[in-house]
Amino acid sequence: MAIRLESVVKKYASTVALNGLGFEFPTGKLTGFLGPNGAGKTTTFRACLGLTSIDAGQIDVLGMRVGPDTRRIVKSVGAVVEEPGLHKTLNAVDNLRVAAWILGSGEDRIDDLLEFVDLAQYRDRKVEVYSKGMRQRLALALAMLGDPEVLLLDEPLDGLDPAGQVALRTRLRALVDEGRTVVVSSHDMADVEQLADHIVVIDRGRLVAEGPLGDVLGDSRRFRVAAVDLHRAIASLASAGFEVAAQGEWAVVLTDDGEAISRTLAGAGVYPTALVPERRSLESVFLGLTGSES
Amino acid sequence: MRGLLRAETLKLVKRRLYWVMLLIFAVVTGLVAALMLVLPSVSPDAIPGLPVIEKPEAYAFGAAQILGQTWFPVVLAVVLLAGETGSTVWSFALTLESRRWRHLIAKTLVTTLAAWIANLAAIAGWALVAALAAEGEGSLPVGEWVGIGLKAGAIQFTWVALAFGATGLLRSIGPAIGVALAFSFGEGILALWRPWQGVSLSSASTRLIGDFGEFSAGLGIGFSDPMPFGQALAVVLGWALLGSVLAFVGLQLRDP
Repeated sequence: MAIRLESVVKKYASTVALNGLGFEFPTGKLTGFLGPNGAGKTTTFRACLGLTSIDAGQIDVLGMRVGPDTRRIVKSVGAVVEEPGLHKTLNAVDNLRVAAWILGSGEDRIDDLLEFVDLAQYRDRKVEVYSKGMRQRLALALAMLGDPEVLLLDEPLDGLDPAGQVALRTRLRALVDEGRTVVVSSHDMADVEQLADHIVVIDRGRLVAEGPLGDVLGDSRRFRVAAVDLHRAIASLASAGFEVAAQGEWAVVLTDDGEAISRTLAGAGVYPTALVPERRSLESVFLGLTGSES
Repeated sequence: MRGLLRAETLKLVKRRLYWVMLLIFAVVTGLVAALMLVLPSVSPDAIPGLPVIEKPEAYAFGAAQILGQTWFPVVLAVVLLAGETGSTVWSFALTLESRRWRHLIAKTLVTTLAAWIANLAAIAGWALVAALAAEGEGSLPVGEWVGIGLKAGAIQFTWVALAFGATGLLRSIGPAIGVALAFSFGEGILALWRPWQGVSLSSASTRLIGDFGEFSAGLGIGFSDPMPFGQALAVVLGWALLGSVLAFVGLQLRDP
């Protein structure tokens, strides 16, 4: 596991930000770290980086313990927490130089990283004139300077236009394909559903769900079937023992075995024009888990 | 540490702040030089009672005037540090190098150097005007010039450290500048109180850079019992240490 939290508690005066939080961010996966605003996502990131001290529990990053090993951890983890920490009066190259000098490495990667985030042609412009998307991309380049094994990105897609989101998603996927661990926090379910392999959901400082995306969404339990002769299709499925009902142009079949539906219909000489598994959206799962549906 | 020093230097020289402050410092120093050195030469009756400062005292007097301008290191240090702690720049820097004390040392060294260079440039400018405009003959011995330079460094270091202390505890620019400048003025007044004089930063600074009696800035009241040089140096550096400790504690104990 790239990062493991065990019974982590963080209090701010009378507010409990993290309440016995425990979960894992798996190695080499793109994890979506979800929760409503105020759930404790940013506090968790800050605690993983030693920026925020915790009141109880422990956090291990790449086998190193936050606290005694924080100095080594930050050299292996690239992070953008909250707003990107950019020097607005400096240009992109100088921002990267400053970060590389502080980090103690990465100066030789500046040109490559500017190419990677598609900012090479804007390298000499001051950051104060950059759009939000350009700043997010520069922040990603900054986080990548030390060639980190783990990337923690706090709401990186927030506020980006659709083209910017697609570009950033493509880059994040490329980083995971290189074997890196990427954790992306978000309160936007659609962002994460398109991006993540693994999901961790927290709410009010507590773990709500974690696991591979498919597991969290749950197996498909319903299929929608369309056919030219819908009545015959429904009769065939019903006589084969399926629980089936007509719903407008569709037949809705309660089963998790799509192959059996195809086999049954083919055996009856009915060929479906569509067979669609009904998957719950991450948003509906999330709302159900966090009790925010009301 | 070399990388941190390079980073701080680049951030400083690429900001307009330092250059604008240098310009203001030059204008203020130029006005004082024009008033104290040039005006008495060209129009002796323009300001009744204005004393004529002759060389070589004019050089040391100018240095004392310049080193007394504590606003320069205070404002520079507060804006540089609070500009980072008040945004995500500081927390991002800690994700690259988690040891706060290393950041603090680098910032203190670079900011002190920047304020020191500004002081030395102003002293050089003053000396040029004095050489051309002031009456009298002679210059200060080389050793005294070197001493002025070193004392200037010590005093800038102290004010930078105190400003960082205020910023570390208060985090935002306005309150930190207010507290640091209030301390500067308040401590100068407190220095007239005999029990405080033994640890007074104003008394110690005056002892280091010289007391020019009736020419002195501020209230024009000299210190009746100047402290020994060693004590003065210890007091100045002691205040610097206090400022550094406050800055470290403030930055260490609070989440960035």
